[in-house]
Amino acid sequence: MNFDVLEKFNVEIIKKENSFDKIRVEASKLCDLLNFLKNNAEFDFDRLNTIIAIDLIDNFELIYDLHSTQIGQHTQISIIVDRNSPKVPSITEIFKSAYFDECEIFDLFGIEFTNNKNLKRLFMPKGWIGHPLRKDYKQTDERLSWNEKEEVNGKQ
Amino acid sequence: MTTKNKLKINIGPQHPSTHGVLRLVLELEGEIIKSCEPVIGYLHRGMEKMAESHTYLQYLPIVDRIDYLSGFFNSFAYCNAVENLTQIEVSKRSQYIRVLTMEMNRLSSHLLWLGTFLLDMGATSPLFYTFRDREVILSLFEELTGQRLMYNYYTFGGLRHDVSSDWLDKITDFVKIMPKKIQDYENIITNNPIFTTRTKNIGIMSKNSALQYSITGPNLRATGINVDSRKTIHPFACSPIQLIYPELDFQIPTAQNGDSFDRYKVRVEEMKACLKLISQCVDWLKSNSGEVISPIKQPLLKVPEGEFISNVEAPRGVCSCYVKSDGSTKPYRVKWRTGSFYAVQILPKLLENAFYPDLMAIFGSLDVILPEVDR
Repeated sequence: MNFDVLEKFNVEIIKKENSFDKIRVEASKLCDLLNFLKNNAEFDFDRLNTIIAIDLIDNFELIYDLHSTQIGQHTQISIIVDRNSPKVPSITEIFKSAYFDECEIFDLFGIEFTNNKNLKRLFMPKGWIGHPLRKDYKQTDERLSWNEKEEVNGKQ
Repeated sequence: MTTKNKLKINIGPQHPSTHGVLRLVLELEGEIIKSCEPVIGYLHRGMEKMAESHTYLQYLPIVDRIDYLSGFFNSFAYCNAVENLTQIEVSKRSQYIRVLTMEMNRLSSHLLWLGTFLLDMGATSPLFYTFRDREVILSLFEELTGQRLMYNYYTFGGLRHDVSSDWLDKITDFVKIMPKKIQDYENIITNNPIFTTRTKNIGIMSKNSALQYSITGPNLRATGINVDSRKTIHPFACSPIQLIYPELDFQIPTAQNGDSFDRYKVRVEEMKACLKLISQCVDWLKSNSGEVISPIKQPLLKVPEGEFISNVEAPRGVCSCYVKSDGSTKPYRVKWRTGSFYAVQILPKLLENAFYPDLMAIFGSLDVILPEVDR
Protein backbone atom coordinates (compact mmCIF):
# COMPACT_ATOMS: atom_id res chain seq x y z
CA MET A 1 0.00 0.00 0.00
CA ASN A 2 1.23 3.47 -0.82
CA PHE A 3 1.43 5.46 2.41
CA ASP A 4 2.74 8.73 1.01
CA VAL A 5 -0.72 10.08 0.26
CA LEU A 6 -1.78 9.44 3.84
CA GLU A 7 0.73 11.94 5.23
CA LYS A 8 -1.89 14.61 5.84
CA PHE A 9 -3.59 12.32 8.38
CA ASN A 10 -0.39 11.95 10.48
CA VAL A 11 -0.45 8.17 10.26
CA GLU A 12 2.04 6.05 12.13
CA ILE A 13 2.95 2.78 10.37
CA ILE A 14 3.03 -0.13 12.79
CA LYS A 15 3.23 -3.15 10.54
CA LYS A 16 3.92 -3.52 6.83
CA GLU A 17 3.72 -6.96 5.25
CA ASN A 18 3.01 -7.84 1.63
CA SER A 19 -0.74 -7.26 1.63
CA PHE A 20 -1.38 -6.66 5.29
CA ASP A 21 -0.73 -3.32 6.98
CA LYS A 22 -1.52 -1.76 10.29
CA ILE A 23 -1.51 1.99 10.76
CA ARG A 24 -2.31 4.15 13.76
CA VAL A 25 -4.13 7.46 13.64
CA GLU A 26 -5.55 9.95 16.11
CA ALA A 27 -9.18 9.32 17.01
CA SER A 28 -10.23 12.77 15.80
CA LYS A 29 -8.96 12.03 12.26
CA LEU A 30 -10.49 8.55 12.03
CA CYS A 31 -13.64 9.47 10.10
CA ASP A 32 -11.72 11.56 7.55
CA LEU A 33 -9.22 8.77 6.98
CA LEU A 34 -11.90 6.09 6.55
CA ASN A 35 -13.81 8.31 4.14
CA PHE A 36 -10.64 8.88 2.16
CA LEU A 37 -9.72 5.17 2.04
CA LYS A 38 -13.25 4.23 1.03
CA ASN A 39 -13.68 6.72 -1.79
CA ASN A 40 -10.16 6.86 -3.21
CA ALA A 41 -9.88 4.59 -6.27
CA GLU A 42 -6.32 3.61 -5.40
CA PHE A 43 -7.33 2.02 -2.09
CA ASP A 44 -11.04 1.28 -2.58
CA PHE A 45 -11.62 -0.22 0.88
CA ASP A 46 -15.34 -0.78 0.45
CA ARG A 47 -16.03 -3.30 3.22
CA LEU A 48 -15.50 -2.97 6.97
CA ASN A 49 -14.74 -6.52 8.06
CA THR A 50 -15.03 -5.92 11.79
CA ILE A 51 -14.05 -3.67 14.69
CA ILE A 52 -11.82 -5.26 17.32
CA ALA A 53 -11.56 -3.77 20.80
CA ILE A 54 -8.71 -4.67 23.12
CA ASP A 55 -8.22 -3.75 26.77
CA LEU A 56 -4.57 -2.70 27.16
CA ILE A 57 -4.94 -2.05 30.95
CA ASP A 58 -3.84 1.62 30.68
CA ASN A 59 -6.12 2.36 27.73
CA PHE A 60 -8.18 0.71 25.02
CA GLU A 61 -7.23 -0.05 21.45
CA LEU A 62 -9.77 -0.16 18.63
CA ILE A 63 -8.80 -1.85 15.37
CA TYR A 64 -10.85 -1.22 12.24
CA ASP A 65 -10.30 -4.13 9.86
CA LEU A 66 -10.87 -3.03 6.25
CA HIS A 67 -11.10 -5.16 3.12
CA SER A 68 -11.23 -4.14 -0.50
CA THR A 69 -13.29 -6.52 -2.57
CA GLN A 70 -11.90 -5.45 -5.94
CA ILE A 71 -8.17 -5.13 -5.23
CA GLY A 72 -8.05 -7.83 -2.55
CA GLN A 73 -6.16 -5.75 0.02
CA HIS A 74 -6.53 -5.78 3.78
CA THR A 75 -5.59 -3.08 6.20
CA GLN A 76 -6.06 -2.33 9.86
CA ILE A 77 -6.49 1.11 11.32
CA SER A 78 -5.82 1.36 15.02
CA ILE A 79 -6.77 4.09 17.46
CA ILE A 80 -5.97 4.44 21.14
CA VAL A 81 -8.83 5.37 23.47
CA ASP A 82 -8.36 6.93 26.89
CA ARG A 83 -9.58 4.63 29.65
CA ASN A 84 -10.95 7.37 31.91
CA SER A 85 -13.23 8.94 29.31
CA PRO A 86 -13.71 6.31 26.58
CA LYS A 87 -15.36 8.27 23.77
CA VAL A 88 -14.87 7.66 20.06
CA PRO A 89 -16.61 9.15 17.00
CA SER A 90 -19.08 6.73 15.45
CA ILE A 91 -18.50 5.58 11.87
CA THR A 92 -22.00 4.30 11.13
CA GLU A 93 -22.39 7.11 8.56
CA ILE A 94 -19.52 5.64 6.53
CA PHE A 95 -20.10 1.90 7.04
CA LYS A 96 -23.59 0.89 8.14
CA SER A 97 -22.36 -2.52 9.31
CA ALA A 98 -20.50 -0.76 12.12
CA TYR A 99 -23.72 -0.27 14.09
CA PHE A 100 -23.81 -3.77 15.61
CA ASP A 101 -20.05 -3.72 16.14
CA GLU A 102 -20.26 -0.45 18.05
CA CYS A 103 -23.15 -1.71 20.16
CA GLU A 104 -21.19 -4.85 20.95
CA ILE A 105 -18.13 -2.85 22.03
CA PHE A 106 -20.28 -0.49 24.09
CA ASP A 107 -21.85 -3.51 25.76
CA LEU A 108 -18.70 -5.49 26.50
CA PHE A 109 -16.09 -2.73 26.92
CA GLY A 110 -18.07 0.36 27.85
CA ILE A 111 -16.64 2.52 25.08
CA GLU A 112 -19.09 5.20 24.05
CA PHE A 113 -19.57 6.13 20.41
CA THR A 114 -20.62 9.73 20.06
CA ASN A 115 -23.30 10.51 17.46
CA ASN A 116 -24.31 6.86 17.21
CA LYS A 117 -28.06 7.03 17.58
CA ASN A 118 -29.64 4.24 19.59
CA LEU A 119 -26.46 2.85 21.16
CA LYS A 120 -27.61 -0.07 23.32
CA ARG A 121 -26.48 -3.24 25.03
CA LEU A 122 -26.46 -6.00 22.42
CA PHE A 123 -25.72 -9.24 24.26
CA MET A 124 -26.02 -8.58 27.99
CA PRO A 125 -29.44 -7.95 29.56
CA LYS A 126 -30.65 -4.38 30.13
CA GLY A 127 -29.40 -3.00 33.43
CA TRP A 128 -26.38 -5.28 33.65
CA ILE A 129 -23.67 -3.80 35.84
CA GLY A 130 -20.17 -3.55 34.37
CA HIS A 131 -18.58 -4.43 31.06
CA PRO A 132 -17.54 -8.10 30.94
CA LEU A 133 -14.62 -8.03 28.49
CA ARG A 134 -12.66 -5.47 30.50
CA LYS A 135 -9.68 -7.05 32.21
CA ASP A 136 -10.63 -5.64 35.63
CA TYR A 137 -14.25 -6.86 35.43
CA LYS A 138 -15.53 -8.61 38.54
CA GLN A 139 -18.94 -10.19 38.56
CA THR A 140 -20.47 -9.23 41.89
CA ASP A 141 -24.06 -8.42 40.94
CA GLU A 142 -26.15 -9.26 44.00
CA ARG A 143 -29.26 -9.94 41.94
CA LEU A 144 -27.66 -13.16 40.69
CA SER A 145 -28.29 -16.15 42.92
CA TRP A 146 -24.74 -17.54 42.86
CA ASN A 147 -23.27 -14.24 44.05
CA GLU A 148 -25.69 -14.10 46.98
CA LYS A 149 -24.69 -17.60 48.02
CA GLU A 150 -21.03 -16.68 48.02
CA GLU A 151 -21.73 -13.77 50.33
CA VAL A 152 -23.64 -15.97 52.78
CA ASN A 153 -20.73 -18.41 52.87
CA GLY A 154 -18.36 -15.53 53.49
CA LYS A 155 -20.38 -14.34 56.47
CA GLN A 156 -20.50 -17.81 57.98
CA MET B 1 -53.25 4.86 7.61
CA THR B 2 -52.94 6.27 11.07
CA THR B 3 -50.67 4.86 13.74
CA LYS B 4 -53.76 3.36 15.32
CA ASN B 5 -53.84 0.73 12.60
CA LYS B 6 -50.27 -0.34 13.21
CA LEU B 7 -49.90 -3.68 14.90
CA LYS B 8 -46.82 -4.56 16.88
CA ILE B 9 -46.02 -8.25 17.04
CA ASN B 10 -43.23 -10.26 18.51
CA ILE B 11 -41.66 -13.25 16.79
CA GLY B 12 -39.51 -15.58 18.83
CA PRO B 13 -37.19 -15.99 20.68
CA GLN B 14 -38.54 -19.54 20.61
CA HIS B 15 -39.75 -19.92 17.06
CA PRO B 16 -39.14 -22.96 14.87
CA SER B 17 -38.19 -20.89 11.82
CA THR B 18 -35.56 -18.71 13.43
CA HIS B 19 -32.97 -21.53 13.62
CA GLY B 20 -32.09 -20.79 17.20
CA VAL B 21 -33.27 -17.99 19.42
CA LEU B 22 -33.74 -14.79 17.48
CA ARG B 23 -36.40 -12.30 18.47
CA LEU B 24 -37.93 -9.98 15.89
CA VAL B 25 -40.11 -7.03 16.89
CA LEU B 26 -42.26 -6.27 13.86
CA GLU B 27 -44.60 -3.40 13.14
CA LEU B 28 -47.32 -4.36 10.72
CA GLU B 29 -49.77 -2.31 8.72
CA GLY B 30 -52.25 -4.87 7.51
CA GLU B 31 -50.01 -7.50 6.01
CA ILE B 32 -47.13 -5.16 5.21
CA ILE B 33 -44.08 -5.02 7.45
CA LYS B 34 -43.31 -1.39 8.27
CA SER B 35 -40.36 -1.88 10.58
CA CYS B 36 -38.39 -4.70 12.10
CA GLU B 37 -35.99 -4.77 14.99
CA PRO B 38 -33.87 -7.87 15.58
CA VAL B 39 -33.07 -8.57 19.23
CA ILE B 40 -30.12 -10.90 19.80
CA GLY B 41 -28.10 -12.12 22.75
CA TYR B 42 -30.18 -15.07 23.92
CA LEU B 43 -27.36 -17.50 23.07
CA HIS B 44 -24.48 -15.40 24.34
CA ARG B 45 -22.01 -17.80 25.94
CA GLY B 46 -19.05 -15.48 26.32
CA MET B 47 -16.74 -17.32 23.92
CA GLU B 48 -14.35 -14.36 23.80
CA LYS B 49 -14.12 -14.01 27.59
CA MET B 50 -13.66 -17.76 27.94
CA ALA B 51 -10.52 -17.62 25.80
CA GLU B 52 -8.78 -15.41 28.35
CA SER B 53 -9.06 -18.01 31.12
CA HIS B 54 -8.13 -21.10 29.09
CA THR B 55 -4.81 -22.17 27.63
CA TYR B 56 -4.47 -22.27 23.84
CA LEU B 57 -5.09 -26.02 23.74
CA GLN B 58 -7.99 -25.92 26.21
CA TYR B 59 -9.76 -23.35 24.05
CA LEU B 60 -9.54 -25.53 20.92
CA PRO B 61 -12.58 -27.76 21.61
CA ILE B 62 -14.72 -24.73 22.57
CA VAL B 63 -14.11 -23.14 19.19
CA ASP B 64 -16.20 -25.77 17.36
CA ARG B 65 -19.29 -24.63 19.23
CA ILE B 66 -19.32 -21.15 17.71
CA ASP B 67 -21.05 -22.41 14.60
CA TYR B 68 -22.10 -25.97 15.24
CA LEU B 69 -22.95 -26.65 11.59
CA SER B 70 -19.47 -25.82 10.30
CA GLY B 71 -17.11 -26.60 13.16
CA PHE B 72 -14.12 -27.31 10.93
CA PHE B 73 -14.05 -23.73 9.68
CA ASN B 74 -13.91 -22.26 13.17
CA SER B 75 -11.22 -24.73 14.15
CA PHE B 76 -9.24 -23.84 11.07
CA ALA B 77 -9.47 -20.09 11.64
CA TYR B 78 -8.22 -20.43 15.23
CA CYS B 79 -5.49 -22.97 14.42
CA ASN B 80 -4.31 -20.88 11.47
CA ALA B 81 -3.97 -17.79 13.66
CA VAL B 82 -1.99 -19.64 16.34
CA GLU B 83 0.18 -21.38 13.74
CA ASN B 84 1.04 -18.06 12.17
CA LEU B 85 1.93 -16.52 15.52
CA THR B 86 4.19 -19.44 16.48
CA GLN B 87 5.52 -19.99 12.94
CA ILE B 88 4.65 -23.68 12.88
CA GLU B 89 4.79 -25.28 9.45
CA VAL B 90 1.80 -27.39 8.47
CA SER B 91 2.54 -30.34 6.21
CA LYS B 92 0.96 -30.50 2.80
CA ARG B 93 -0.95 -33.69 3.57
CA SER B 94 -2.54 -32.10 6.64
CA GLN B 95 -3.59 -29.13 4.55
CA TYR B 96 -5.18 -31.36 1.94
CA ILE B 97 -7.08 -33.26 4.62
CA ARG B 98 -8.15 -29.94 6.12
CA VAL B 99 -9.50 -28.73 2.78
CA LEU B 100 -11.22 -32.07 2.19
CA THR B 101 -12.99 -32.04 5.55
CA MET B 102 -13.85 -28.35 5.26
CA GLU B 103 -15.46 -28.77 1.84
CA MET B 104 -17.45 -31.77 3.09
CA ASN B 105 -18.50 -29.64 6.02
CA ARG B 106 -19.64 -26.89 3.66
CA LEU B 107 -21.67 -29.43 1.71
CA SER B 108 -23.37 -30.77 4.83
CA SER B 109 -24.09 -27.24 6.04
CA HIS B 110 -25.66 -26.24 2.72
CA LEU B 111 -27.73 -29.45 2.68
CA LEU B 112 -29.16 -28.63 6.09
CA TRP B 113 -29.89 -25.09 4.96
CA LEU B 114 -31.67 -26.30 1.83
CA GLY B 115 -33.93 -28.64 3.77
CA THR B 116 -34.85 -26.19 6.49
CA PHE B 117 -35.30 -23.26 4.10
CA LEU B 118 -37.94 -25.17 2.17
CA LEU B 119 -39.46 -26.42 5.40
CA ASP B 120 -39.84 -22.81 6.53
CA MET B 121 -41.85 -22.13 3.39
CA GLY B 122 -44.07 -25.14 3.91
CA ALA B 123 -42.45 -27.82 1.75
CA THR B 124 -41.83 -30.81 3.98
CA SER B 125 -40.36 -33.45 1.68
CA PRO B 126 -37.02 -31.79 0.71
CA LEU B 127 -36.01 -31.92 4.38
CA PHE B 128 -36.08 -35.72 4.36
CA TYR B 129 -34.07 -35.95 1.16
CA THR B 130 -31.37 -33.51 2.27
CA PHE B 131 -31.08 -35.02 5.74
CA ARG B 132 -30.69 -38.45 4.18
CA ASP B 133 -27.62 -37.24 2.26
CA ARG B 134 -26.30 -35.14 5.13
CA GLU B 135 -26.42 -38.25 7.29
CA VAL B 136 -23.88 -39.92 4.98
CA ILE B 137 -21.42 -37.05 5.52
CA LEU B 138 -22.01 -36.97 9.27
CA SER B 139 -21.42 -40.71 9.50
CA LEU B 140 -18.15 -40.28 7.65
CA PHE B 141 -17.15 -37.52 10.07
CA GLU B 142 -18.13 -39.71 13.01
CA GLU B 143 -15.93 -42.48 11.69
CA LEU B 144 -13.00 -40.08 11.28
CA THR B 145 -13.24 -37.92 14.40
CA GLY B 146 -15.65 -39.71 16.74
CA GLN B 147 -18.04 -36.77 16.67
CA ARG B 148 -20.89 -35.76 14.42
CA LEU B 149 -20.82 -31.98 14.90
CA MET B 150 -18.10 -30.86 17.33
CA TYR B 151 -15.08 -32.45 15.72
CA ASN B 152 -11.99 -31.15 17.58
CA TYR B 153 -9.91 -32.77 14.84
CA TYR B 154 -7.37 -30.08 13.96
CA THR B 155 -4.47 -29.26 16.25
CA PHE B 156 -1.78 -26.61 16.03
CA GLY B 157 0.51 -27.74 13.23
CA GLY B 158 -1.47 -30.72 12.01
CA LEU B 159 -4.27 -33.12 12.80
CA ARG B 160 -5.10 -35.60 15.54
CA HIS B 161 -4.55 -38.60 13.23
CA ASP B 162 -4.31 -39.56 9.60
CA VAL B 163 -7.20 -40.69 7.38
CA SER B 164 -7.40 -44.32 6.28
CA SER B 165 -7.60 -45.44 2.67
CA ASP B 166 -10.91 -47.19 3.43
CA TRP B 167 -12.36 -43.87 4.50
CA LEU B 168 -11.16 -42.21 1.29
CA ASP B 169 -12.80 -45.00 -0.74
CA LYS B 170 -16.08 -44.29 0.99
CA ILE B 171 -15.83 -40.62 0.00
CA THR B 172 -15.16 -41.62 -3.61
CA ASP B 173 -18.38 -43.63 -3.57
CA PHE B 174 -20.24 -40.72 -2.04
CA VAL B 175 -18.93 -38.24 -4.61
CA LYS B 176 -20.09 -40.57 -7.40
CA ILE B 177 -23.73 -40.71 -6.30
CA MET B 178 -24.09 -37.15 -5.01
CA PRO B 179 -24.34 -35.19 -8.33
CA LYS B 180 -27.40 -37.22 -9.29
CA LYS B 181 -29.03 -36.36 -5.98
CA ILE B 182 -28.34 -32.66 -6.38
CA GLN B 183 -29.92 -32.96 -9.82
CA ASP B 184 -32.95 -34.53 -8.15
CA TYR B 185 -33.29 -31.54 -5.80
CA GLU B 186 -33.09 -29.17 -8.70
CA ASN B 187 -35.75 -31.12 -10.57
CA ILE B 188 -38.07 -30.90 -7.57
CA ILE B 189 -37.34 -27.35 -6.49
CA THR B 190 -35.85 -25.02 -9.11
CA ASN B 191 -38.74 -24.97 -11.54
CA ASN B 192 -41.45 -25.51 -8.97
CA PRO B 193 -44.00 -22.71 -9.62
CA ILE B 194 -44.85 -22.29 -5.92
CA PHE B 195 -41.19 -21.99 -4.97
CA THR B 196 -40.29 -19.57 -7.76
CA THR B 197 -43.23 -17.24 -7.14
CA ARG B 198 -42.42 -17.14 -3.45
CA THR B 199 -38.71 -16.41 -3.90
CA LYS B 200 -38.16 -14.53 -7.19
CA ASN B 201 -37.95 -10.74 -6.73
CA ILE B 202 -38.38 -11.19 -2.98
CA GLY B 203 -35.89 -9.68 -0.55
CA ILE B 204 -33.70 -7.99 -3.16
CA MET B 205 -30.29 -6.98 -1.87
CA SER B 206 -28.38 -4.44 -3.96
CA LYS B 207 -24.62 -4.59 -4.46
CA ASN B 208 -24.12 -1.35 -2.64
CA SER B 209 -26.15 -2.24 0.43
CA ALA B 210 -24.52 -5.68 0.62
CA LEU B 211 -21.10 -4.02 0.89
CA GLN B 212 -22.40 -1.31 3.23
CA TYR B 213 -23.67 -3.99 5.61
CA SER B 214 -20.51 -6.11 5.23
CA ILE B 215 -22.35 -9.11 3.81
CA THR B 216 -20.07 -11.92 2.69
CA GLY B 217 -20.29 -15.45 1.38
CA PRO B 218 -23.07 -16.77 -0.86
CA ASN B 219 -25.34 -13.83 0.08
CA LEU B 220 -22.80 -11.40 -1.40
CA ARG B 221 -22.12 -13.52 -4.47
CA ALA B 222 -25.86 -13.68 -5.20
CA THR B 223 -25.76 -9.92 -5.81
CA GLY B 224 -23.19 -10.36 -8.56
CA ILE B 225 -19.96 -9.52 -6.74
CA ASN B 226 -17.47 -12.31 -7.36
CA VAL B 227 -15.48 -12.34 -4.12
CA ASP B 228 -14.26 -15.46 -2.40
CA SER B 229 -11.31 -15.71 -0.01
CA ARG B 230 -10.51 -19.09 -1.53
CA LYS B 231 -9.61 -17.43 -4.83
CA THR B 232 -7.71 -14.34 -3.65
CA ILE B 233 -3.94 -14.24 -3.82
CA HIS B 234 -3.36 -14.90 -0.14
CA PRO B 235 -6.02 -17.42 0.65
CA PHE B 236 -7.60 -17.17 4.06
CA ALA B 237 -4.98 -14.90 5.52
CA CYS B 238 -2.05 -12.78 4.71
CA SER B 239 0.13 -15.59 5.91
CA PRO B 240 3.51 -17.07 5.05
CA ILE B 241 1.83 -20.49 5.14
CA GLN B 242 -0.13 -20.79 1.93
CA LEU B 243 -3.19 -22.95 1.63
CA ILE B 244 -3.58 -25.31 -1.24
CA TYR B 245 -6.68 -23.78 -2.84
CA PRO B 246 -4.66 -22.19 -5.68
CA GLU B 247 -3.60 -25.70 -6.77
CA LEU B 248 -7.20 -26.85 -7.13
CA ASP B 249 -9.49 -26.25 -10.06
CA PHE B 250 -12.92 -24.88 -9.18
CA GLN B 251 -15.37 -22.18 -10.19
CA ILE B 252 -17.07 -19.63 -7.98
CA PRO B 253 -20.78 -19.43 -8.77
CA THR B 254 -22.46 -16.03 -8.83
CA ALA B 255 -25.91 -14.70 -9.65
CA GLN B 256 -27.17 -11.27 -10.65
CA ASN B 257 -30.37 -10.19 -8.92
CA GLY B 258 -29.64 -10.72 -5.24
CA ASP B 259 -33.12 -12.01 -4.42
CA SER B 260 -34.04 -15.09 -2.38
CA PHE B 261 -34.07 -17.29 -5.45
CA ASP B 262 -30.54 -16.26 -6.42
CA ARG B 263 -29.26 -17.01 -2.96
CA TYR B 264 -30.76 -20.50 -3.33
CA LYS B 265 -29.22 -20.87 -6.80
CA VAL B 266 -25.73 -19.83 -5.65
CA ARG B 267 -25.75 -22.31 -2.78
CA VAL B 268 -26.87 -25.19 -4.98
CA GLU B 269 -24.10 -24.38 -7.47
CA GLU B 270 -21.66 -24.15 -4.59
CA MET B 271 -22.57 -27.69 -3.55
CA LYS B 272 -21.52 -28.89 -7.00
CA ALA B 273 -18.24 -26.97 -6.71
CA CYS B 274 -17.68 -28.64 -3.31
CA LEU B 275 -17.98 -32.09 -4.88
CA LYS B 276 -15.40 -31.12 -7.49
CA LEU B 277 -12.98 -29.97 -4.78
CA ILE B 278 -13.59 -33.08 -2.66
CA SER B 279 -12.78 -35.47 -5.50
CA GLN B 280 -9.57 -33.56 -6.34
CA CYS B 281 -8.45 -33.74 -2.70
CA VAL B 282 -9.21 -37.46 -2.50
CA ASP B 283 -7.18 -38.11 -5.66
CA TRP B 284 -4.21 -36.22 -4.23
CA LEU B 285 -4.41 -37.96 -0.86
CA LYS B 286 -4.56 -41.40 -2.48
CA SER B 287 -1.42 -40.83 -4.54
CA ASN B 288 0.68 -38.94 -1.94
CA SER B 289 1.74 -39.77 1.57
CA GLY B 290 3.17 -37.65 4.34
CA GLU B 291 3.18 -36.81 8.03
CA VAL B 292 0.08 -35.25 9.61
CA ILE B 293 0.81 -35.51 13.34
CA SER B 294 1.71 -32.15 14.82
CA PRO B 295 5.36 -31.57 15.82
CA ILE B 296 4.13 -29.78 18.94
CA LYS B 297 3.97 -32.14 21.89
CA GLN B 298 3.82 -29.91 24.97
CA PRO B 299 0.31 -29.24 26.27
CA LEU B 300 1.29 -25.79 27.53
CA LEU B 301 2.06 -24.05 24.29
CA LYS B 302 3.76 -20.69 24.71
CA VAL B 303 2.88 -18.36 21.86
CA PRO B 304 5.27 -15.48 21.10
CA GLU B 305 4.02 -11.94 21.56
CA GLY B 306 2.07 -10.64 18.57
CA GLU B 307 -1.30 -10.47 16.88
CA PHE B 308 -2.81 -12.14 13.87
CA ILE B 309 -6.16 -12.19 12.10
CA SER B 310 -7.05 -15.14 9.89
CA ASN B 311 -9.97 -15.14 7.48
CA VAL B 312 -11.80 -18.25 6.29
CA GLU B 313 -14.53 -18.47 3.67
CA ALA B 314 -17.06 -20.33 5.81
CA PRO B 315 -20.49 -21.44 4.48
CA ARG B 316 -22.09 -18.31 5.95
CA GLY B 317 -19.51 -15.77 4.89
CA VAL B 318 -16.08 -14.75 6.04
CA CYS B 319 -15.18 -16.05 9.48
CA SER B 320 -12.28 -14.14 11.01
CA CYS B 321 -10.42 -15.05 14.16
CA TYR B 322 -8.23 -12.41 15.76
CA VAL B 323 -5.72 -13.65 18.33
CA LYS B 324 -3.49 -11.37 20.41
CA SER B 325 -0.81 -12.98 22.49
CA ASP B 326 1.24 -11.48 25.32
CA GLY B 327 3.77 -14.31 25.35
CA SER B 328 2.06 -16.43 28.00
CA THR B 329 0.19 -19.72 27.74
CA LYS B 330 -3.22 -18.06 27.48
CA PRO B 331 -4.51 -15.80 24.71
CA TYR B 332 -4.68 -12.12 25.70
CA ARG B 333 -7.67 -11.47 23.45
CA VAL B 334 -9.62 -13.52 20.93
CA LYS B 335 -12.21 -11.88 18.68
CA TRP B 336 -14.56 -13.69 16.34
CA ARG B 337 -16.11 -12.16 13.26
CA THR B 338 -18.80 -14.31 11.70
CA GLY B 339 -20.99 -13.92 8.63
CA SER B 340 -24.40 -14.34 10.30
CA PHE B 341 -23.82 -11.41 12.68
CA TYR B 342 -23.99 -9.04 9.72
CA ALA B 343 -26.73 -10.94 7.88
CA VAL B 344 -29.05 -10.32 10.85
CA GLN B 345 -28.24 -6.63 10.66
CA ILE B 346 -29.40 -6.27 7.04
CA LEU B 347 -32.73 -7.98 7.81
CA PRO B 348 -34.67 -4.77 8.69
CA LYS B 349 -33.63 -3.28 5.36
CA LEU B 350 -34.74 -6.33 3.37
CA LEU B 351 -38.04 -6.52 5.23
CA GLU B 352 -39.03 -2.92 4.61
CA ASN B 353 -42.49 -2.93 2.99
CA ALA B 354 -42.35 -6.68 2.47
CA PHE B 355 -45.38 -8.90 3.00
CA TYR B 356 -45.55 -10.70 6.29
CA PRO B 357 -45.76 -14.17 4.66
CA ASP B 358 -42.49 -13.37 2.87
CA LEU B 359 -40.68 -12.96 6.18
CA MET B 360 -39.47 -16.57 6.31
CA ALA B 361 -38.71 -16.69 2.59
CA ILE B 362 -36.34 -13.76 3.13
CA PHE B 363 -34.92 -14.68 6.52
CA GLY B 364 -34.47 -18.35 5.60
CA SER B 365 -32.58 -17.51 2.43
CA LEU B 366 -29.94 -15.54 4.38
CA ASP B 367 -28.82 -18.75 6.14
CA VAL B 368 -28.45 -17.20 9.58
CA ILE B 369 -27.43 -19.39 12.48
CA LEU B 370 -27.80 -17.91 15.93
CA PRO B 371 -24.94 -19.44 17.95
CA GLU B 372 -22.65 -17.72 15.48
CA VAL B 373 -24.41 -14.38 15.95
CA ASP B 374 -24.22 -14.34 19.74
CA ARG B 375 -21.01 -16.33 20.24
